[in-house]
Amino acid sequence: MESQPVVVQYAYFFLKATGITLVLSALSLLTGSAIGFLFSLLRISENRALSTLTLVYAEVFRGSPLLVQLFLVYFGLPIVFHLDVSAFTTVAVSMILYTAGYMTEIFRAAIQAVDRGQWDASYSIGMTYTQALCKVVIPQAMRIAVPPTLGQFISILKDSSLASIIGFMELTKAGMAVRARTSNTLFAFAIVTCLYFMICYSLSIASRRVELRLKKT
Amino acid sequence: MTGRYTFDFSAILRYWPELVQGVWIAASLSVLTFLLGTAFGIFGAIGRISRRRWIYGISTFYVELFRNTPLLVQLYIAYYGLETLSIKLNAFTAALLAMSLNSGAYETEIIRGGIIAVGKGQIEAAFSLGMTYTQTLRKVVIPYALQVIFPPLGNQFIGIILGSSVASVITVPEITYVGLNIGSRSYRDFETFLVIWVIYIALNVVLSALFKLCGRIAFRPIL
Repeated sequence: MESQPVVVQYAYFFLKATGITLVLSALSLLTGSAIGFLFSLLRISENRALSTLTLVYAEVFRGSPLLVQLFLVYFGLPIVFHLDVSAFTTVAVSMILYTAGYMTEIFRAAIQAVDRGQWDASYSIGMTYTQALCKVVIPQAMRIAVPPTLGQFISILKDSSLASIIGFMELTKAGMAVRARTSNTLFAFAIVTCLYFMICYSLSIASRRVELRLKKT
Repeated sequence: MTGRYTFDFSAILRYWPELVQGVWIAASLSVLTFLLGTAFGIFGAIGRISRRRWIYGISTFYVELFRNTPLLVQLYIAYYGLETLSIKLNAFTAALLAMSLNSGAYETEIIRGGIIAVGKGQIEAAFSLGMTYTQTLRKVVIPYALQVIFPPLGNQFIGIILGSSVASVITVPEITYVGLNIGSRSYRDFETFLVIWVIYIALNVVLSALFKLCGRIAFRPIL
């Protein structure tokens, strides 16, 4: 065991940490998208108050560092709300709130990118606002939203590394742990870099392909 | 312990000189990062449109490597990783190195987009008017490219400021680091970070407005 290279010894450890990073990021993307989708509908609604409120939400959460938001949740939940939560909950809550801000804007932009004529056509065949939105506009907007959503997923994967700062054991923290155990700093960081790169680069390529295909149709 | 939490901001406001110092360090780190990053971006963009395969290859590898790995890991490598190669950088320099290489990768793509956006027809038109190569570059290509890259570069600068908070992890005494410090002395971590949250949002709002204004003054819409 001792004679084996560090990679082999710690292969399982790194794989598990990569899995946690993926799960955390996917959870943030899915939940953040659900909230962001609802907010984007409020954002484009005629209701001035709701529209402004969601605009402010998106601007505030996109316009401040995730790390600061993470600390706010980290200190806020136990002190202010007397909630004794795990590191995972802390990280998940702040990443979901942060992602929701970005997804609000992605969905809003996608809905508004659908040609105005589609609305007019829907109304002219007697559809209501809700029908036009659900049956005509949203299906088209969803296609437009795919590439930026993939881009957002890449950002989330990279941003999830900040979870290591409050002690959550994901990929970056695993790298720091292996570094401490083996005192082989460069090796630990090289593996962490490679793992992030492989995941994010494949997603980048996928995103570019989807974008090209959408352009053709 | 139970019951409502009473907010107390007076403890934090006592430390305002430290907060100002933190903002100053974050601002200087961000400005230097932006300048160095723009230099990397210009070289990167030239490389990315080069017809020489190996130049294109190196610059593409640079862009993809830095855009597809976390800034935090890049900071760790610049600070702890280089140390093992007996290159000992202080925290500020390590942060500047990692952040400007990171920003340079994004700026490469922004600048490349600006160069590509100048249509061939525009350059041909300039030549047909009898402009020399330098004149075409100065009066047609650069003004148009600048107009295209100005808004995304402004966003990039704001992104750098937000990203600079991560430099706190390698002990650069910018706003977030100052916040952790004040929090641990005043036992008012939550209030401290609320204040810091507001500082970042205010910086963002002011700079966004400033960039929009500059853009409106510097560039008249061309169609």
